[in-house]
Amino acid sequence: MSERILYPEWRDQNRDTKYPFSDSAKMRNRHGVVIPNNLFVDAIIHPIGGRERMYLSRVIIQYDRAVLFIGDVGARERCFGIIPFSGTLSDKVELQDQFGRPAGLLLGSDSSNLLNLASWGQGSHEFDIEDSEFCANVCVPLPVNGGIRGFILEDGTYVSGDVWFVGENGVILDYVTVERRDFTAEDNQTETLDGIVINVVGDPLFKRKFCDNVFQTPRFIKRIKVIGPNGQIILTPDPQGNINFYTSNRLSSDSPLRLIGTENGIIVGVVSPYHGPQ
Amino acid sequence: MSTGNTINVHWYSINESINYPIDDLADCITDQGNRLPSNILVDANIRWPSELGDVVFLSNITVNQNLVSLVFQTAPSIDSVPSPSVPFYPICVVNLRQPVIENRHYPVRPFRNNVGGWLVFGSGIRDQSFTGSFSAPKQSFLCPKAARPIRRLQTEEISTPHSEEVITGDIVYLKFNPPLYGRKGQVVIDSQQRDVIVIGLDEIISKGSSVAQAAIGAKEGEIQQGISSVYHLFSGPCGDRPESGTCRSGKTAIEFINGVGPDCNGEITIEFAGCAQIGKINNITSPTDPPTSVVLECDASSSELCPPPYLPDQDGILPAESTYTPPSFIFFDVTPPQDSEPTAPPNNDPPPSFPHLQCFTGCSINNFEIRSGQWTSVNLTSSSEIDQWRTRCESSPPPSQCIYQSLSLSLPNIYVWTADVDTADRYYETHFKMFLGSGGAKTNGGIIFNCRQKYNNPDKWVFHTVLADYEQQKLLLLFFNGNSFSTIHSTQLFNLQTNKWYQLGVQIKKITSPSTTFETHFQLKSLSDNSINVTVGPITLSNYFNPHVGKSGLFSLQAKTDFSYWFVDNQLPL
Repeated sequence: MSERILYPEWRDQNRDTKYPFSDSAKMRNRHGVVIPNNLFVDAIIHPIGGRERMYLSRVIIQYDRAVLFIGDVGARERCFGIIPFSGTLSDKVELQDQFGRPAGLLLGSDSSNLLNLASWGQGSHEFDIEDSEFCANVCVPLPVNGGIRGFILEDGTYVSGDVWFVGENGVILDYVTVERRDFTAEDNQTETLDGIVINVVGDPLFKRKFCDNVFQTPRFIKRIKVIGPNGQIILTPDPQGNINFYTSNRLSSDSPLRLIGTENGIIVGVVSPYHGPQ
Repeated sequence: MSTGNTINVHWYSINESINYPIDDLADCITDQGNRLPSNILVDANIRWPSELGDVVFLSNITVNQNLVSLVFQTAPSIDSVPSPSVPFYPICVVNLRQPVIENRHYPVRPFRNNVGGWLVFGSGIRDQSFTGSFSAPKQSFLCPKAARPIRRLQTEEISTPHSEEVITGDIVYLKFNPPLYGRKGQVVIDSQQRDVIVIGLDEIISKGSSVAQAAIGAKEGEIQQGISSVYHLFSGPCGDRPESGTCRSGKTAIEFINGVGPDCNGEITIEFAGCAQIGKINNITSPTDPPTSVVLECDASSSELCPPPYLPDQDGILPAESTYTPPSFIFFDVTPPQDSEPTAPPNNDPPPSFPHLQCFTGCSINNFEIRSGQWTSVNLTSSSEIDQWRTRCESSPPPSQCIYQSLSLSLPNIYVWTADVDTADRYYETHFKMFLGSGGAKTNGGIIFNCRQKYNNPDKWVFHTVLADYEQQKLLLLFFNGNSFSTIHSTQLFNLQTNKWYQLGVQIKKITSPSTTFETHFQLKSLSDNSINVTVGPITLSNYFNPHVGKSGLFSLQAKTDFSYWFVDNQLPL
């Protein structure tokens, strides 16, 4: 009488099959390095821009880790994952692309099986598509032109996800809606688009920025209160910013009072027959 | 006896015997009444934009010995039936010439943007012919594991107004031309720390660079014409702020008249006395506005100030012999508010005896107070560092020597001797050594005197200082009014050096006749050689207000400077 396990669990079912590799995968490379059927029991691979026939293209064994590269018909290194040989062991190998974006997951049958990769010997182990092709259902197509997923700055920094633009040091940003005319349409229809305006406005207070700890705001003279024996007058500047002092001979036809303007001030004096203005 | 027999069937082999990737709920019956063989299509993975429909189904299939052709359509739901109001969209097709290889991915050819995927065929692709069509999704829709809609990304493209160029790629390369820069940063937005792209103006790139000047579009010489910063340039013609000292013309509003500043409301008072009469000139265009001009008059005539025009006069006296005195005017000695300072030594100590000398022996320093900056004691052990010319303290250089060093590179360093209660008729002396500054630091050293709190702001200090400035190669007499320095006198020096000991002596002398004034002399000598030996004075100190009870001591302006002793005497050698 034969015995069969009719309803195995998912991991158990896949442990002894090639899955997630294709039925036609040879599971060994030209140098005889064998990928055990129980190395992985499931996978999901979704690099952005990935093409058909994704496969395990390269395994680099180092003294402390294994680096697994996934390729396809368009590129040998579409994404990669790392299996550390020390520290906390896991049965999951998270994949990422060259910009660090998530690109999928390889699920090992258990963490100790993944450690067996160390027995391959240090170096780079190359595989062809026929050696290690994955099943179609674990390879998720994600089109590369589906929209903007991230930005690269000049220093190579990559920013993705919920991206915010912030202005500083003389730059402010503004959100606007822009009307754009579609000249290709017969009726020249316009469409309303969201827009970001980058305003380079400088910074009138830049000296405070540079001299943050020593800059002191000056207090300017806004009014001059002139007090005399006959009362007081409060003077404010005219539209040109001037306050004027005059003399007059209304009280005395030969007034000795003199106002003399200099480069930096005003000399107020009386004329003396002996000493000139005092 | 039983025989164990475990069969491990691989993924595609399993699928040859089941409907997958067609969903279990689909009946797989064509419009012609034939059942779709399960071993033709064994795996698939298809994605399409969700606005085209929720499910995708196989609408047509042809397999024969020459070709393989499959067509897929989307539908709003499993139960949808085709009608003019319920559109079905063909999204992709696979057309292959035989022989088609089993268990290999074949990409679909999309009819619409953002549609993609691949199919895998099984053994049924080569040993049978089959043709059929499916008009409703319920007959042949793909299970969710094999086909799912995708949500369109929020930002599908980037462009500029009035441009046909559109960026639709997955990753956008951001390039910033100087003086703009872009960097990744972290900013708290809505209580969450977020990764952001920060865009700003780079002062370092632009300042003083002719290349950068061209890059930012500045006209020839514009930076030299008062635009001192790229921030200034882009702020435009209305971006000048007098309160920030950024006026291009260099002209700014008046802060002080004779060192007197306005009150909190910006108002300053000028009082005229004696014969003066004041009158205002009203603003003709807007009489209700405050006047902008004042007329000063004197209710006296020149004749009242002159001797009678007789030669000789009626008493036979010639002008040279005249004892005539002009009529007296009432003068008000308008004394500005005085800067305050305690008039007694600290802790009710008795007044110090003179001469007073502190050599900082054992790094002890008595009755000194740090009023600004940072100071520390340093024990010098190298003979090249020790002040070997400190004859007031010892006749021969000791093996080690404690000195006091100013440290703050951003603030004035003020260290005053608080035991004295007067700064008139005093002679102050010290030895100092300057160091080359870096990172914005300055290089100078000097003596501060009559340092007291500003009368209307106890947080500010008002003082005079004699300062040797290495950068300017000048010996300066400066007055600080609490806000800014004004230069009373400067003497050009030659070969003022760092890492050399200098002797600086400052003398303040009170002159009582004909009126009370104050004069200063000061002397700077190079100690290791005779390259500098300068004595300056007398110079009248116009802002040396009574009661001149400020404190005196050691000083450097944003500089690291060593001082080796402090000497005060009431005998004036200069």
